[in-house]
Amino acid sequence: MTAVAENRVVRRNGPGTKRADWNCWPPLAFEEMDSALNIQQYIQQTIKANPSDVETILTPPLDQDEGVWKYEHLRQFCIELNGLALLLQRECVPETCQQMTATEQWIFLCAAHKNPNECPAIDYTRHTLDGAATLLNSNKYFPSRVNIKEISISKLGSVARRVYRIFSHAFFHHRKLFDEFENETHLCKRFTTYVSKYNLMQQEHLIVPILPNQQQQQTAQ
Amino acid sequence: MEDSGQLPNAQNEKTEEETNRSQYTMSGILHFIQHEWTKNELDRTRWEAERAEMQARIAFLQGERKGQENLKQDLVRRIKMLEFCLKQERAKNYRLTHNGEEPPSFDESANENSAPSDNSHLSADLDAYINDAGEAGGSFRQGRLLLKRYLEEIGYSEHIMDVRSFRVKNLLGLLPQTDLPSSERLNGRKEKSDSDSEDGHDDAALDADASKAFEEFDFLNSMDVKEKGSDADDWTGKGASYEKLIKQYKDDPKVKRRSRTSTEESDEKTSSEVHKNLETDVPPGIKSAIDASAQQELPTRRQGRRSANFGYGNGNELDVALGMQDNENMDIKDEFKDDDDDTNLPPVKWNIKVTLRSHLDTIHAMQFHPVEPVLFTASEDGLIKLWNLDQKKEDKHNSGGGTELEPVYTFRGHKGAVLCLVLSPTGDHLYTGGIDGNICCFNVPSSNGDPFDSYDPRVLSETLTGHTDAIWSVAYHSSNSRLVSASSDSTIRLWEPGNGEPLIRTIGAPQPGMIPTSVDFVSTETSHLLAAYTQCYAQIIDIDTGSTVMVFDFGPKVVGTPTMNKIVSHPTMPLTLIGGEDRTIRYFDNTTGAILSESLAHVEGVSSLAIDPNGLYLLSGSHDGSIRMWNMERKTCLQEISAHRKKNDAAVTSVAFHPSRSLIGSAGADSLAKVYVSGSN
Repeated sequence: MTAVAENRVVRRNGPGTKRADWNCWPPLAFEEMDSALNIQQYIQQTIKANPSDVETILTPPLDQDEGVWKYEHLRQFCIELNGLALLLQRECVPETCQQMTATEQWIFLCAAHKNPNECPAIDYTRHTLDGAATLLNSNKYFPSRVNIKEISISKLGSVARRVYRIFSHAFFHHRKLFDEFENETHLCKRFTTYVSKYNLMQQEHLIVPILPNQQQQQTAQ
Repeated sequence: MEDSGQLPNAQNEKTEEETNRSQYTMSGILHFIQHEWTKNELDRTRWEAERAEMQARIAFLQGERKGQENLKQDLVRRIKMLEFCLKQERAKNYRLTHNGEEPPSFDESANENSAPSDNSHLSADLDAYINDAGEAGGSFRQGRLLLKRYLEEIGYSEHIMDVRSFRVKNLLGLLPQTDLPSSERLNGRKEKSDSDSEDGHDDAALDADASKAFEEFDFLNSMDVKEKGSDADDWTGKGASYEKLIKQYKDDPKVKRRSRTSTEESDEKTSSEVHKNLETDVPPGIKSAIDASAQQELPTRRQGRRSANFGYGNGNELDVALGMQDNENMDIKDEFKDDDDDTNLPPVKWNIKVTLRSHLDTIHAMQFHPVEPVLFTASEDGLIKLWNLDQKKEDKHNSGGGTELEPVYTFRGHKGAVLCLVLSPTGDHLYTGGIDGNICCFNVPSSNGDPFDSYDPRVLSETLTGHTDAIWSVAYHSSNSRLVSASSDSTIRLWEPGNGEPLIRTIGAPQPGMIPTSVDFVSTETSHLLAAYTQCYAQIIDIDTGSTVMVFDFGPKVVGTPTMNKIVSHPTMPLTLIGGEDRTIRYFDNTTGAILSESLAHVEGVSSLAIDPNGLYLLSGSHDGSIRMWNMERKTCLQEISAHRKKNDAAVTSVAFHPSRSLIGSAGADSLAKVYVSGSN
């Protein structure tokens, strides 16, 4: 709710805020965001402005530390992926999706367990997201959201690789649901652009044809 | 007996000359003299013994005083340390906000100038100091470094200022007001102390006394941990360094020697002596400040004892204030106890127990399990997490980062942010409301389960749909298993989960445009529901009829129509508390609807309130980032904790009391939840 007190815009969603007014306040220039969580604020603000404008969303502010930028984006992906997991919870049951698969080529093992486990797809999804949340909040690797060590940055790649499988499973096995989600959030498109831009995954693993060049490749094959 | 040979001759002479006289024989006289001499000797030894005893007593009293002085010295040093960090931080903050300019020399006195040079060789010296048992400055520096790192991490300084001034007030508030009696007592003691003392006694007395003093020191130390507690890791290191400090103090011969040679006569001398002691092991920056304060001390002694303004303009003020408390420090504990006796309450100081990190976005609600040390948090990331605070901290899963507390279960049911949650009185059922307008009814799984167990769809037993907009508050009626929800579609709805037709009643807004923000049941009248609204409105509703029972009268002091963020019922009395966006906490009488009390409680809007199960304490959370503990009866703030960082303009969003254990919690926009424990444990 944008309550105006003393001619000042208060940027918070207080109790009673309507859904339409959620995060609905005049955008703030990045330079004026003086909180420690300014990157998250900025990312969410640009997403709110236009979720389909992937390029703008992924363009960091001037002089932004790339590690923090990548980290906060990955956090945001995990937040939004919870929406896809919720949809999958409705129809992705162990009876139909006994294994985490996308194409027939790979069966993915769930890394949340001590010994990688062949979890059903829904469990894989939940465990991966919960594990990602734990890792991204880990005091060991990410004690601060302002300074991130180089060694911790390397963890982002494996998180990205695992959560991408949720997209690919939804795409190949729950296409209707995937399209519903994608039309609303453009999340897979943003994610694919993100991992390509920051080289977090190899191109051949990006099997969901969501970007124009990927679609061209597919038709060429 | 060499006399024995002469004895017969002497005896003969005497018997001839003085036969009439009674038997004064040489041997008798000698015997008498001998006897007298022995008696005198005996008396003398007794006096010696008495004197030694008195000296021992003097030594003991002297030692006691020294112990207190050293305690005081430690306190001064600690305050100086915090102050110095603060100045550093302020300067840093200034540089940050002014594009790296050096701060204009605001109050850059001698201590400020010498401080940075001290700082520059800090890191290089650090290792050496750690192992240097004879140098108290080492652990001081180490502590300061940790503190500095911590301050850097939290990134704001205004709140620190608030915390400091509150802390200092609190500290002084704990100190006794008995200026005169204690100084009299001290003078009396000094007269006795003029004679020399014996070293052995002195040492023993001092050791006993010093350890006593350090018990108090420990108590203060725990206060300190709580105050800065948001980063536990840093503070374990700090705690260790204080232990080292204590050990060093005990081993330090210098301190003891000083205590033996002290023969000062007056209050003034005592305090300057203390400052002299301080010079031995404080960094130069602080030393100069102390010198300055020692000079200032005398004139200000009487007037400024409890100066209300602890603004950072005058760095010495603090010293002066503390210097004046000088010899009264010894009464800290007693006074504290007296205070407790007044109210029959245990000392309430809350220290951080654990920071729960797993949510990825603002946490909007939290609640403890009614019995178990289990916590539920609901976040804007769409998840509700179950935490077992007693969980064995073992690294079960290779995804985790070591030995951190991880959630035991993650509930998924809402699309988008989860805004509120409530537990059934048994803790078996969980009801959550979200921005999607749905209420999810969960069966709570075991708090000892495996977080990576397979998905059981039965956990989400029911979804109550009907609201057309975000749900901001839910309350559970314990006696008839009904649920009340408040939504920004302007309605309050009454539900009966598990019923085929769960929706029982819809209660509209009292006036068009008003939105209910918070609901709670009246503890003393179970069919009555408290509801707070936007536009400065709150009422009691009879849920059996849906009609208004009482509209609270906010009185004339309200400016504008601030949203009332949180309404809670007193657990035992017909009393209602409301926290408002206008930073105010208001107390209302349920029977008359009249306002009983209102107080400006925070720097920014009050987002959340919680009352302890006995109705003695109130916990409030605010978007200024702090939580505050209040004495309900006196309406005084007992403790403030800087709890959460801001995201946009939101900070603390929720606070909670455990219904049966001494645990409190806070959750905030920084995606973190924190749990605090009381007292020394």
